[in-house]
Amino acid sequence: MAALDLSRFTFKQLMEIDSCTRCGECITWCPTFAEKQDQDAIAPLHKIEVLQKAIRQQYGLRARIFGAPPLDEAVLTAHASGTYDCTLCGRCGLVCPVHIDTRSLWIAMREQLVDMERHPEAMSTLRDTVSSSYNISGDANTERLIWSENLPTIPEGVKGKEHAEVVYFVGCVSSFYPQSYSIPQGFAEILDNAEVDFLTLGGAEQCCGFPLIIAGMGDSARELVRHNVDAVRRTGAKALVATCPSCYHTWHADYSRIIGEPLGFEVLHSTELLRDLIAEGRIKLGSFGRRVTYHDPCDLGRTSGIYDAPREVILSIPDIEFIEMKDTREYSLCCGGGGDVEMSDKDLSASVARSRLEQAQATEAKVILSACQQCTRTLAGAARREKVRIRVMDVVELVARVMER
Amino acid sequence: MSAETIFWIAHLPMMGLFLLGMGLVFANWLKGSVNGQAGASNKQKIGAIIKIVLVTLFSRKLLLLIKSFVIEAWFNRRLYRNDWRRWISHFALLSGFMLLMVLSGISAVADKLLIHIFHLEHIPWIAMWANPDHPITAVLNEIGSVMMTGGLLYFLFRRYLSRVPQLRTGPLDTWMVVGLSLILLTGWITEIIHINSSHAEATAYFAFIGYPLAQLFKGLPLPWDALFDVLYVGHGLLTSLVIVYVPFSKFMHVIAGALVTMINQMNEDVARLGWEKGEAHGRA
Repeated sequence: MAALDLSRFTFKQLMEIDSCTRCGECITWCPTFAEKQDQDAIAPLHKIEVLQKAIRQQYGLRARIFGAPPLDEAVLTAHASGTYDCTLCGRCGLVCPVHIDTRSLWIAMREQLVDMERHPEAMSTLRDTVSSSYNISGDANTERLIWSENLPTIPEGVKGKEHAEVVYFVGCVSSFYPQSYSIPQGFAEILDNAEVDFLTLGGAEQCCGFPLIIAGMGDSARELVRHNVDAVRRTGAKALVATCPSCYHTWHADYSRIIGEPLGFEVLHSTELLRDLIAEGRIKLGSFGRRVTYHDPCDLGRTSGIYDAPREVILSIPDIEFIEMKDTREYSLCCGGGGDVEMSDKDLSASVARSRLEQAQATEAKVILSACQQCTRTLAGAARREKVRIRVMDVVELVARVMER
Repeated sequence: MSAETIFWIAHLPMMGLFLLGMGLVFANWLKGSVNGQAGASNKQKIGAIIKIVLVTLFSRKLLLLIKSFVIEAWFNRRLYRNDWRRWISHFALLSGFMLLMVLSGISAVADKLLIHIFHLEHIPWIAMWANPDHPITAVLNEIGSVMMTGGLLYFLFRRYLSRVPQLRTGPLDTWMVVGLSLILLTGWITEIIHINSSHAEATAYFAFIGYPLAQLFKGLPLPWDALFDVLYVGHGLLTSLVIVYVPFSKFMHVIAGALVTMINQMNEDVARLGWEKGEAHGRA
């Protein structure tokens, strides 16, 4: 076996591996380890420990003098499984006393595992699907606007515009998974109602690359990134808005790094735009007299730092009763739908979702709101499986529902 | 040959080994990319790191770096939020360690440089740092030792007696505990022997724990002066040995952890304050 290649890590990440105090705080906050406590390989501390040992074994004093022994196959197999059984929610990094940027570290570990061809088969399938279809579902990419077909009237911005102030980047899940159609439908209606000059890219929109980046296959996402940036630039838009937090995060945090230059337009999440439109009086909201709670999507909250915008939108709805869950904002529990875990371990994803659902139930809310189609889908799935009478909605869906037309 | 000469003959090569170990660790870190350039040579990477360090030190970021060190690395706010008992233990251990390190450093400069070379022993505020029985140094040394001992005892209790479920105890943890315990134990014994020897001065009672302990053993018919020489060298060399072990052990987190905490918190603050707005996001 080839020597351990550390080029996927940054200098700082290798420093972070040596900085772990083994205090185990990450273990108590890990949502996937909480569901699989017999599998230490999932524990954040353990992942760091395995890599630390491997580095010492391969590049330590003894290895430099006497040569490095081969990597332990069993340890490597368990490490690969543990590294992909992670939702990349980033809670471990939030509580780490030495501030290790764990989420980036786990992605770098996945990149290394991909190089070593130790990644799950499901990730290879994902790469093949996205590379050939330009979306995660494998459907024809020209069908990206299928969600708009049963709208009473299709806003001009959805089809038929080449230039606009704002590009609405719909994302793969909302475009191709019928459960999520109501999110782009609602958002398009809101934008149209607020007289926002917007357009969608239709078949010219390709996967943002997020699923590949977090799978450790960021290299395969480069072409998608370049294509999407060019497509948006051609519209002359001043801003891009995404209802999907993962698309938002990728556009906001990764795109300029990948293309090596500033994007030249603003990147917004839908909740930020909604907050502004409500504040400007461009959307008028009717009442919603129910108790609701809000689930912070990991990619919007912890990863992107947006906590207030969705809450401001919710609180601007007359008569709404808003109550927070036990773990909220920075400490929010993951819904289980992140990190591509659903593709590699469906049961684990469902277990995490059930735990979050229990927290929502404790608030006695009638509606769980989120600002992510994936969280909404995962939590709704958990509610259905557990036969819990609680509605799960995206903030966009709620606003579209109570908006005065 | 005096005990001190023996100490220095052994200590200096050991410090060389420590630096060698640190070089090895640094060489491993250099296998990672700097500023997103994975294919760069080590020379280019070192150049980039030096540039980052200089830009940070000679800019307003320095204030954030200092703030990060004090609030996040030393006073470790996150640990306090997680568990205040662990925070006390960690703060005591780290602060005690830092205090003793600073006192050792000042003492070495005062004794070996200012007194032995520049003959400044007539200046009281210089001479006092070379005298472990001076009221100020005795009290400060005692505070540092008590803090470290208290912190270590809670650490031992939590990891080995109460066995908190979140902990995973392995050889790395145990060897660190052994090293720290040996340093502290020999340190206390050396102090007791020193106070009971003819080297001690009248003000030694300022060592508010060591002095009462020394009184308990004072009646024993032991060659205190000879023992002091052995323990002085023994404690010093043991400490040196633990320092050599730092790059290969969990002790490394003291250096790497402080650096990582400072860098990540500073970067977070820089982003929050918008000091680098418009710049491409980098992975340094």
